[in-house]
Amino acid sequence: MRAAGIGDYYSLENIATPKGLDPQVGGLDFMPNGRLVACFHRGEVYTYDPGTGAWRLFADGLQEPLGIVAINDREIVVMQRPELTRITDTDGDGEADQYKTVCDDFGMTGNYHEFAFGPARDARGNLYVGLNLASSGASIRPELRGEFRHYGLSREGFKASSYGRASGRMYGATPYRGWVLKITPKGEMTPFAPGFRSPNGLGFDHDGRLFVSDNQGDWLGTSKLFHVQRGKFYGHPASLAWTNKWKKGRNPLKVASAEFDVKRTRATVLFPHGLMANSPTQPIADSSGGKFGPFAAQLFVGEMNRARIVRVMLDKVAGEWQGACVPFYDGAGLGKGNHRFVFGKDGSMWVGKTHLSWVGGQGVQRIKWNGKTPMEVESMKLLRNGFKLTFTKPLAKGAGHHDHFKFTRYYYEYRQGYGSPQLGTEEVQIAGLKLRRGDRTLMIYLDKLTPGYVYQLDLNNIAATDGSPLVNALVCYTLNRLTNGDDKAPHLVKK
Amino acid sequence: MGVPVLKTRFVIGLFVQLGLFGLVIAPALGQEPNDDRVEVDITARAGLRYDVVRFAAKPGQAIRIKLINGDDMAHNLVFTKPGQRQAVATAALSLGVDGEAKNWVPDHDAVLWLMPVLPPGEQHVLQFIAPVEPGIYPYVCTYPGHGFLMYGAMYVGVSMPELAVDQHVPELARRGKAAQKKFHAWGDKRPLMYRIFMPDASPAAIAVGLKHGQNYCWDAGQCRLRYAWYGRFVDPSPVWRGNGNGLAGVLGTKYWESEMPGTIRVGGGDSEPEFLGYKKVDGQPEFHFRVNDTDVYELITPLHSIIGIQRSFRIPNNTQPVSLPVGPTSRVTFDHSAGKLENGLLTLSAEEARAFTVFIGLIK
Repeated sequence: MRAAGIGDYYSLENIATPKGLDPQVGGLDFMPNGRLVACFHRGEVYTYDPGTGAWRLFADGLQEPLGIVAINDREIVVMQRPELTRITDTDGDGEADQYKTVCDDFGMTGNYHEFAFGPARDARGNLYVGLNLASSGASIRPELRGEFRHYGLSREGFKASSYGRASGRMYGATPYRGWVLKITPKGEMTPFAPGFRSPNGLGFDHDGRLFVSDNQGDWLGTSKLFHVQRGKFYGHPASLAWTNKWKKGRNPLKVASAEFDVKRTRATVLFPHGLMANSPTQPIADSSGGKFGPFAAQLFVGEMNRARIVRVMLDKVAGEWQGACVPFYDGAGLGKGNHRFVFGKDGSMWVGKTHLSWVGGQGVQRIKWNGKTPMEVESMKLLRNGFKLTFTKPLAKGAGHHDHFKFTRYYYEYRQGYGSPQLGTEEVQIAGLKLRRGDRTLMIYLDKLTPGYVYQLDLNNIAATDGSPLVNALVCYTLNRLTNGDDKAPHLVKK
Repeated sequence: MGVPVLKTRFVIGLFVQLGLFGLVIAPALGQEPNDDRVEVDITARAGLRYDVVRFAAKPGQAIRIKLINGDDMAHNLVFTKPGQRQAVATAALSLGVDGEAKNWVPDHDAVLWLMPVLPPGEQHVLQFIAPVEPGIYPYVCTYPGHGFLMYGAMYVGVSMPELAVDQHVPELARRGKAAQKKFHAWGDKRPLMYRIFMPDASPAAIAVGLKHGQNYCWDAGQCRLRYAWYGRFVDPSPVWRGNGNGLAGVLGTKYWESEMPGTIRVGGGDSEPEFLGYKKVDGQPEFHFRVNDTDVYELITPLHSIIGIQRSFRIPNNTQPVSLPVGPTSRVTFDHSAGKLENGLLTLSAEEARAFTVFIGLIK
């Protein structure tokens, strides 16, 4: 059987960008008139006419813009380092002349790592942004914006060369670093949820749920995707200094992880490091209504460190969302640095790339489906005693056999240290298999299902009845809770 | 060096005479171009610089310099004795009202040859005989304030060092192509602005490059002007080449810096100012912020006759007294359209404050 590639089902086009532009993309959207609007590393916003291939400067002078939402043909909202800004071409000459601050009610220390992400817009027009923590790779600057507050260091202490020992690897020293904020159309800001490290990617799923990705590092054993709800805590404690309940001066670096573990909301999906994604970016729902292939309404998430876009298959279990991830687009012309996404009216996916001096890429690419259905795992649902896999096409005869499926499980520890190895790794025996629904659905019954594990499924030598081989054979399901609601996972915290 | 002091003095004296002769008589001789003559076209460019920052000549060689003013401000070009560039440029600053008539060239022993002040777009030819004494002869624009950045050197019978280590050319020229780099597909035309990490400001700083080589840093974190400089704009590469762990470099000479904290005050109280954005007026930002529930607008534009800026404030329908810390005013030309200035604080009545202007210029 010949190796299948995603390139057999999708075509990829490189979009030329203006000469002289640093084409690191911070945000992508479409205006109602069909023009693509993109913001770039050096502060420019351009529009692009997909019909003629012409770029036109719309705005400039922004500070590391990392997200964009088009409001209408003349107006956009951009998240840049210092603020969320509404940018308008009031006189209709094609170039913006008015830059209104929508929200700058958060602090800045001048630390390079304080990137600002978003906005993601909900159905009511509220905008959500994510604020990075500062990195101990640099200190804070002499002048700040906003109140200074740090649990371990004074402002003087940040001047000492040894500041990194007391600051925490990623730290917050001004308001709402490590938070997702909600901003109403009138510009009123509510701190929405704390616990983030580097939330480089906010997006709504098809049903209006907010998802935010976060990057492996301190307190994150591996990279994650969270279903974010107001007031919940997502695991990185530096941000807790800006909650009402946090005692001023209490140092989260000296608090036992178990205390935070009880408070935190676990990730909806874990992206195993080195395997699935090392630096996930924007989640985007497939809004193409089927024009982009068989994944309508599912989430895609970008990956910086390799030439990959990941697909997420959500599963509601005992009232909460968890789910699985699977590579969607690997290689086949796609570069690294897959940062920002938008769907065009024709159902094609536009990809904007960046690197910001880390591993990544640059430029804009466009991916189109060619109408042929790839053989893929379409969904993965937890059962009481196993998983239900649905494929995009019926399985070829003989596929429903143990030999084709291998389950391994492991977990990532929740701890202050940087990342976590895979722990408790073991193969899980398959107790039985059953084909259903015209051979598109397969029940796999397992020996052991335990909350707090990633269940990694490697599929081997699978093909559809039409002979097409499975394209992506690695699926990782994050089992937070069982169908009976049991989510106890004491092994996640080091004793 | 073993050169006797007396001899050096004698030779310099000699070439000064020759040189001055050259200025007067060389054009009259109608010298034909020949292989022995050095011909150099120097264009004055935006950002206070000559495009040619050095050239070589043999002692006693005929020189023909064409200066083309390709900038939007006036410039001249003056050759001086070795090591006297700054002294001559500084002397020009004190010409005051006589400056225009003297082409901004001071009566100074170190002046050798000069070009008159050229308006934008014009050109002029200067011919002279190079000194017989080997040395590095500076040329400089003595138009007030330009000389700190706008200069070059004629190497007479002296070998040139590598450009990157040549202390006789401006720092930007030494840095070479990196410093001249174009950062945008749209050409970096002034006015332009960057929100970018700047030295001596909060992290929410804004750098603006106006026409005529005027630049300033306005702080959106504190809603106030922080400093002004002239020359080229900023070098953003320490911020842009990586992940932002750097500060933009100021490419010019700071001539004013607000040393008084705090922004404009409207009425009583010390409420935090709230930054609300800006509107582009002919490409220049008019900042909008709110102080004590009152909308304030500030537009900064370049002055034309001297190096400096005009700060135009609007507080529509204002009903309260206003005070504006204007910082140090002793080292600059300072003026204001209304109000009373005392100890660096400009106070205005409610009515005066609805629209007023503050001028900050380099030359006292």
